[in-house]
Amino acid sequence: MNKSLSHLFANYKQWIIIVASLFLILFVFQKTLNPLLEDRNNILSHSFLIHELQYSILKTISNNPLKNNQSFDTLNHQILRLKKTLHSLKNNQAIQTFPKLSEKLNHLMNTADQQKTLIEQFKTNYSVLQNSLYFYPTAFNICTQSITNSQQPNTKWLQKQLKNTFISGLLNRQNVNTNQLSQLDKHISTLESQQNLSTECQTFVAHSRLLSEYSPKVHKINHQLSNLSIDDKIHNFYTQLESSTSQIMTKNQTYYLIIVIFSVFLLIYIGITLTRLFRSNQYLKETLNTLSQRQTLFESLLKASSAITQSKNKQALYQNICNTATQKDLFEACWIGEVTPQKTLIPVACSGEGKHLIKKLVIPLNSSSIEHNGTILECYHKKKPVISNHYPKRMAQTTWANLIQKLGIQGNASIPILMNNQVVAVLIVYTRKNNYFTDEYCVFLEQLASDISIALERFYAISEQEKYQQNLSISSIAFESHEAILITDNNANIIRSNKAFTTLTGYSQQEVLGRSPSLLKSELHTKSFYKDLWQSIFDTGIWQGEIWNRKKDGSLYPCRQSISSVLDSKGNISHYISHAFDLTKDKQAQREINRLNWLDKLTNLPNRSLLIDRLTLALSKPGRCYSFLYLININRFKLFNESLGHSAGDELLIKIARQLQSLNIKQVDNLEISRIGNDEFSISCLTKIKNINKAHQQAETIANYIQAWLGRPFVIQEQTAIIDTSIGVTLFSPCNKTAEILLQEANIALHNAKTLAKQTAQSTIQFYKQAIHEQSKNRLKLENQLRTALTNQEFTLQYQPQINLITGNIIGVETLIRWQQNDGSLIPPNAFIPALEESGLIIPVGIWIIEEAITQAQILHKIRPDITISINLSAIQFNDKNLIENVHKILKKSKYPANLLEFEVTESLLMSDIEEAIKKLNAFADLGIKIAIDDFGTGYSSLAYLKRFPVSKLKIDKAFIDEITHTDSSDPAIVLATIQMTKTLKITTIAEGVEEQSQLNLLKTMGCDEIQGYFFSKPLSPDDLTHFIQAHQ
Amino acid sequence: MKRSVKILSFLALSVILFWSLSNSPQKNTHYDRHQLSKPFPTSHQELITPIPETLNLNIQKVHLGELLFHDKNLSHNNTLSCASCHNLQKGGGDGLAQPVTASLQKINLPHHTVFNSPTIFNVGFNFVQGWEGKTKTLEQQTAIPLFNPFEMGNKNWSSILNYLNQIPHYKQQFQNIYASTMSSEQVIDVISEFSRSLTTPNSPFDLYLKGQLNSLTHYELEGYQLFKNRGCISCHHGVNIGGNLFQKAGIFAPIHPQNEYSPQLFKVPTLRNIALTAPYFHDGSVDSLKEAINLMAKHQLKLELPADENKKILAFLQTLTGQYQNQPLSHE
Repeated sequence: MNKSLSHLFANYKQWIIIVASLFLILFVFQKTLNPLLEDRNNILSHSFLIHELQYSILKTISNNPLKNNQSFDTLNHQILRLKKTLHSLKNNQAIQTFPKLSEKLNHLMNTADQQKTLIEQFKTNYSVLQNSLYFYPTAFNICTQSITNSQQPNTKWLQKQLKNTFISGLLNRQNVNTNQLSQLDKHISTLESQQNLSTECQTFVAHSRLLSEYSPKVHKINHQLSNLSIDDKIHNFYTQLESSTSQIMTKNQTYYLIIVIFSVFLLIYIGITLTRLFRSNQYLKETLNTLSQRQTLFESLLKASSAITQSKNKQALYQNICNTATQKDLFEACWIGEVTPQKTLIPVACSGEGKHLIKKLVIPLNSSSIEHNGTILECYHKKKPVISNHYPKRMAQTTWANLIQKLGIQGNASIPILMNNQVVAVLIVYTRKNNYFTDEYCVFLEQLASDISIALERFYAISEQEKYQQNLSISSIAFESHEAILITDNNANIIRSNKAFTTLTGYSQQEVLGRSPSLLKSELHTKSFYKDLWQSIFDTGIWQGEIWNRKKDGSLYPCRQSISSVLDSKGNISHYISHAFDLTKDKQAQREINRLNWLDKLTNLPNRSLLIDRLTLALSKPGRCYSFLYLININRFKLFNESLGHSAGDELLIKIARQLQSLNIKQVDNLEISRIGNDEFSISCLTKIKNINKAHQQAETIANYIQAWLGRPFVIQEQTAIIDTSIGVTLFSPCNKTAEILLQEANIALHNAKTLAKQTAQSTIQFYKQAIHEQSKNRLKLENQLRTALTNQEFTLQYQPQINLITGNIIGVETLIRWQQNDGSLIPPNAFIPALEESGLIIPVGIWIIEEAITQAQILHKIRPDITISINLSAIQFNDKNLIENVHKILKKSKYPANLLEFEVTESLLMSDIEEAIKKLNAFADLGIKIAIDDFGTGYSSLAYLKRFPVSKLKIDKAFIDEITHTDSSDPAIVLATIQMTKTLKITTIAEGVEEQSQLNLLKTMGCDEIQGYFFSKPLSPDDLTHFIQAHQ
Repeated sequence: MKRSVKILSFLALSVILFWSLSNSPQKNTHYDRHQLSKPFPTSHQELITPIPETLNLNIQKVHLGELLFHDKNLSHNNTLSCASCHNLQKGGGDGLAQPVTASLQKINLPHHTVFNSPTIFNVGFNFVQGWEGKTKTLEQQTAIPLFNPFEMGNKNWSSILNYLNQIPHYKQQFQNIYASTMSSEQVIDVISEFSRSLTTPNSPFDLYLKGQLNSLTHYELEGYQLFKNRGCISCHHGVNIGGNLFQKAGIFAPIHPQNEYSPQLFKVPTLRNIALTAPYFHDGSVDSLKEAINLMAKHQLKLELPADENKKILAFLQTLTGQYQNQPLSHE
């Protein structure tokens, strides 16, 4: 209340104006109030009453009141009322204020007083007259009677005289006129002259005389009364009243005008004040709104900040940001798109309405067509936030217009998320509100984007750190490579050596620590050689060369050695590192030469040989994904060469090569470009597509893209050249085909394309159709056969014994599947297992294998109860949710001891989802089942993970064993390292594919636990296996 | 807060404006004729009208006035009250030719006529008060005896008001009636109001006038007829049978002996209760009504009224004695 009072007083100026105006108006209004105007009706009614009373009084008087039985009470009453009315007028304040009016009233009252006096006279005289008139007949009678009784001589005359007098007396009363009056007087005089009149007659004569006297008197008074003209006085008063009234009215007109003017002024003033008030009120409202908006924004920012700090990875961060942005109706929808290497923007997180629509978006960022008039593109290119409050208008000409209208989007903002001044992602928000993006929102969004950037940098830093740690672990493994490594401090004292060093020189790390590398000196080199060596290190930081060194046992060995110095942050030498490679085992030089042979000299692209090499590799890769091989021929290149010269031709070829290298095809995994002929290029693409039709479609899309890409103009020797191309395409998946055959197929397709190009003079694309056709036909046939194979019992199992190298005993068998069709043909496993996996048949077949193998093992156990049966699990089998349950059931049903069951899984299978793999393997380990890692060494060979898996056995791949005895191979070192490592992890090693005695011997010396291979036994049928075991015993 | 105040003031202003504009006087005022055309008393069958049985009076004032009327303390020596000269048991007069105080003090001033105390009954119907009609209203007349040195002899109002204020009952009554401090006007008002209440309705003649034709005997009616025919009624008429005009005392010859101070005109006195208000005339010179009637006939009609006529008129006049508080007035 105090506050509002102070507010009230704060605006005292307005109040003063309003109150002053009000007072002024009231003052002027008060002036218009005149008592006369207020009392006018009253005065008028009084005047009227006076008039009426006056009329009544005169009427009463003229009506001969007593004669008409009207007592003077009536008259008195009328006079009293008249008097009272006049007095009330006299006392009237209004009249008193107007002297003229007062004067008229005084006139009136004076006249009324005069009238009253006259009336009193009238009453007195009239009643005297009336008295005589009442008695007159009686007096006459008495008189005539007395005359008759007196017997006088002139009786008759006297009687006649008396009679005449009586009649004139009566007439005189009724109608006063001079003649009659004089006649009456004459009669009376006559009678008075009679001496002997009786007393009675004297009375009569006296009364007659009285009548003659009083009648004129009364008439005179009547006449005077009517001459008073009191009506005129009343009229005068009334006229004066009206004139005074109209005078006041005229004056009041002016006052009313003033009042109206001031009122209008006051109204306008109040109106203005109110308008100001409303305006300031509006402003306050807006301010409040803005404040609450800012609060919402601030809260959202806080949430976003907490989301940023709590998010563990980029995806979660993006999603959290999107969720925050669509909370509290902040925005209708929000999404974050990431910039892909192919320069497209793909949504990675979104929330709000239209999520499903946003998820499908792919926005090319290097397009400039009208379709991409949106804020995203502008934002991406300008690296600045782009905000549109008129989104529908902006997008009106694009295909998005309908959608925007349908969703009612009014505003859109795109904010770049920068890392190292590069747009890595874009934050896009939509709103349905009009003019929603104010400065606050822009600041908010920019802040959000910058927070995200910081978070991204943090993630990047974390990943860098992880990489660094990984590098460290890699380094540590690399350090343990087959190169002998020595690290010394700046005084050339050894501080570290690796195992390869120990292997190479025979010195253990403990023996060399703190000593100088000079202990390895062979004494074969001159002092100047070492001097040059050190000089080179000091000058260039490195020395490389071949050098002879001495082992611990005194023998010498040649090695390629490199010594490099390591500088600290101040630029001083802190360490020296020496790598020594035993030259006797090195094939590196030869490979280098080969590699040089594989590059095209002009374009630096791989040449045909390398292409074939890579195709071979691709063909041999496991998996059933389709790859595409494109052969590209430049139409009429010969003509070009001839017209512009060979140097122009070469330049064109180089430019085409660069253009091809700049190809960016996101749908494929791997893109390899080669130049295989003069004007012939090839592109091989590896994809993940398994469906032949999809693959075909994709291949065609890419082919078109390539053709369009090459269709761009080239500038050759300041001339624009546009080339047509013919493209031959063939699709392939890993199969028995050779690279040459593949190339041949592609060539056939290219040939067809060229033929077509000659006809149409256009760029053309042709597919090698037969191959695709045949391949898909074969696959379908195979699958159909596989479906019946299980029921037809066409599958058989073979078992390859596994031998303990120390005891020479058979400790287990590996189960291998064979498919002999009913027609007798034997299908190799690598031909049908992929089909099994793809069709999903591997699950039932897998279970059958386990059941069958266990049944067989139980038979074997009658002879050798300790034999472990080992079964391969494919990826699809391993990922089957029911696998553990099924295995558990089988074990329970057959009562087979789980510790004599071993599952072999490949390394790559485990690495695809490590956490899930650990769970599964632990579940097996819990059952008691052993786990062996198959094909070890071909994949990641991550020793770090081995510790985490409950692995009991490691199978060294046959590829390593094949070359184990070759002295120039690095394989024995790897095998040895693997064996030694597994020993420390207490994992058994088994070498696969042992075919020769020398291999066996070497493995034995290396400490390998078990072997398996043709050298010992090929895979055997159950019966043969039984015989083999019995024989072996 | 501020806004509502502003709106309120704005509204108030608009109302004032509207009112002031709409209130401007109109030139053609409408006269309320109905209000003005009140019926005036019209002619009756007879010139004499009966006394009304109900009066429109303030009963509280009447009661207080009655107390004051009988309070001797209102005189300067606490010896006289109004009732001393206006004995309500003696027809409203004192039965003396002149007031007792005047006779005691033997006042005899040549220029000052000492009048007979007139009856106070029906005094409210008189058009003026006093024998000469010098006081125009009852209120004026009421004050006169209070300050007349020959009557109640007060010097001023303060002595009267002091006395009245000392009596709690009076003080309370005045307070109840007027709700203000006591004043001379209030004292006059209550006594006057009481005087107005002193009416004597339902005399036999009034009953006759009101339709009870048998309330008068034939003889008395003959008297009434003579009263009219001999012209008495020309002055003695109206509700008070007199008291509504001035007249000479003696048309043909003066009734009373004349000197230069003798009044020329008297208020015609009332004939109500005339049988009870002897002695008669302004100087109380005539003791019997019979004589007074003869005197009147002689002077006003120049007639020696025959004895039978006198008797008849006398009989009529005796029917004019009314009732006070429903009790017929009588000699003691």
